[in-house]
Amino acid sequence: MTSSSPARTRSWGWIPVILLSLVIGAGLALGATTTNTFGLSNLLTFIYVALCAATALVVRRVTAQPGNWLGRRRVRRVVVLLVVLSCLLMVALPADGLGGTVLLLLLFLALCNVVLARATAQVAVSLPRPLDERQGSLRDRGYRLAYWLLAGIAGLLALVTYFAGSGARAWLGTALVSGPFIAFVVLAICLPTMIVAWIEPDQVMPAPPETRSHVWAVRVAAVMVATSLLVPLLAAIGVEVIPAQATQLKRYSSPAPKGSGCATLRRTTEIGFWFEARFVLDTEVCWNGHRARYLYGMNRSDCMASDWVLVSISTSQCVRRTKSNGTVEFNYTAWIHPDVLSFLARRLRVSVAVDRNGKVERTK
Amino acid sequence: MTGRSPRWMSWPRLLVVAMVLVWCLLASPVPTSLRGSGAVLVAFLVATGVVLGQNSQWRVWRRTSQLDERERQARDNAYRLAFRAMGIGIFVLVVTASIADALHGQTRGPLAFADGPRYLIAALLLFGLLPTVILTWPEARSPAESPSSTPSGRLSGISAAMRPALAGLLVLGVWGAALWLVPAGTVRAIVVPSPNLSMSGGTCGAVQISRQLGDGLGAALNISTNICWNGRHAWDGDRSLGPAGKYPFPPVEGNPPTCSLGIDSSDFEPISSESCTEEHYPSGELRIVAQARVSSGIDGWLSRTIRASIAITAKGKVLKGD
Repeated sequence: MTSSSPARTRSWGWIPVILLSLVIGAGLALGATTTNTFGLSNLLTFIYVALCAATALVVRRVTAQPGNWLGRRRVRRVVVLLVVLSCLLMVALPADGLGGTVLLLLLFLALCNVVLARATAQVAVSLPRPLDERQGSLRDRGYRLAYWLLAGIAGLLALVTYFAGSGARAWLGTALVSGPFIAFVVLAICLPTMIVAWIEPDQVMPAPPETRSHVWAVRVAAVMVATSLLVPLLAAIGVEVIPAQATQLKRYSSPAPKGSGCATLRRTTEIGFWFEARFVLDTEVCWNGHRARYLYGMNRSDCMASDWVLVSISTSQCVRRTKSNGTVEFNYTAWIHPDVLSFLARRLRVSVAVDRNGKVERTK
Repeated sequence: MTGRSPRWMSWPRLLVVAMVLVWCLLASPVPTSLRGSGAVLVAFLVATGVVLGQNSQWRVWRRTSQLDERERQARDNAYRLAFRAMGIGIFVLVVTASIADALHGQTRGPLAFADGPRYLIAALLLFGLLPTVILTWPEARSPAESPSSTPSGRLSGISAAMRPALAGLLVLGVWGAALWLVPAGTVRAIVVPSPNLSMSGGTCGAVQISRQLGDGLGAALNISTNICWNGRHAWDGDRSLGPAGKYPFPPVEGNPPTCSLGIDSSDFEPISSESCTEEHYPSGELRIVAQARVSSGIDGWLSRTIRASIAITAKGKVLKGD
């Protein structure tokens, strides 16, 4: 006996997947479009979002048996607890300290969701196949419990924060644009699967034999999941290991008063691929044989990256000084942290020194 | 069990449409104030929810063992849809609260959702009614067509037809009783010096006084007025000083001068008979006393007067509020 027939029941389960992908994509694109000079990085970001959406759709379409290990209730419950802990961590994170940690948590939650979907044979999502009576009953119970659990949590939270005073309301207002809201969205997508994984007993029935095409579909889905999870991690590691790409220092003469000279100096340094930052040294310096002086490009406001995508930058040194021998020098040092694996850091130094005769003494 | 397809314009479907429209009015950013009609809207939604619950034989709330296979399948489909719709509903509420906040000229964004009792009530009603509403739509039958085997024809002597009305009245009654019993909150008063309000020889500022009943779920007396002070007197900023810098309107026995008021109507309880008077003391102190009558919405039944007063010294300091 089947509890639902896909021929008669239209599946709307892909809507939250698309919505989540759009939200993540918008967030990534927002971070990626700090300026529009990183055309390739923006393109890579949107390709990645499309890959995530395609992966989610493929994974939802491909059913796989949980296997001996994921068939155990204890293992499934551990994964469910990990998801709950990740959501609690997201709630506890300070609103201004999100960034890379949230992206990492989202990747982890995506992985857990894939594991849970496999562990429950995807009974909690609409599938292009009928469910048997036991699976249908599990899915329906999962949705009923998920509805009242999520409604209860959200309703209780709204009530308590409303009557607890203005401080609690301010927290809820902040929560709606930070980690707690992301946790709510995650639960709004994954909670039925989590509940099914929690309540389903140990599976002792042997898995039915799989067809060759199904085995290939499972492999393709696994490769797509692995790619979706690994690509951001590799890009983050790339910030640390890919050598910096710096152009040659370009020097353009510019009009100068009689007896002196002026030149514009330009140099671009890029760190990372996709997760990347670009620094442009663009300064004009004049000299008169006694001392060199800058016209622009060596101020504190110049101590910043010109573009960055999915990295955060912290300045550690920003110094301009004129030596006693008339040389003017500018040193800018910064640490670049990828938004994923933000404990990684790459040190970058931009430095230039021009002596009193207009000779560039050093540059980095 | 009949296999008839549902009629498009059956009574339950009309009720569902009406509920959706009323809920949208409750959650909508426009109008920015429900002017006291919110409690009636909530009572309507609860009453119609009871009608739909009876029509569906309360299947959403019943145990699986009490349902046959078709009923169980319909209920479970409703829960699956309701789970998805709930997330969308919350998102819609946050967005509409932010829009309403912007229409008020503020930029609190999502904080407006957390701070607005209207959205809190809309969210709670959404959670409570959504499965029943969704269950009703695909298999709507008018009550007359409902199976005669309805297990709850009478309950404790109350007929099924009376229960929705009683539920609505109960909501209004509990709301009104709470309004009557809950102590009024403390008076909050702030004086904001304003460079746009100037008067020769004096300093002016805007005074905002508020007192709430039931933390915004009851009523709120919000008063905005302008005052000036010059070290010798404090006076209504919308008047001018008389000769020699004295207050021009000395208090008249039995005919106190009225102050200019701006009272925001509450969403859930109507405010009427508002008044504001000024009292001047020899020390130069100005006392503003405002009061309003709050009724529960049923022809003044369970009405209550709330009062807020503050005193402002001749140096512009808020002295006390009660």
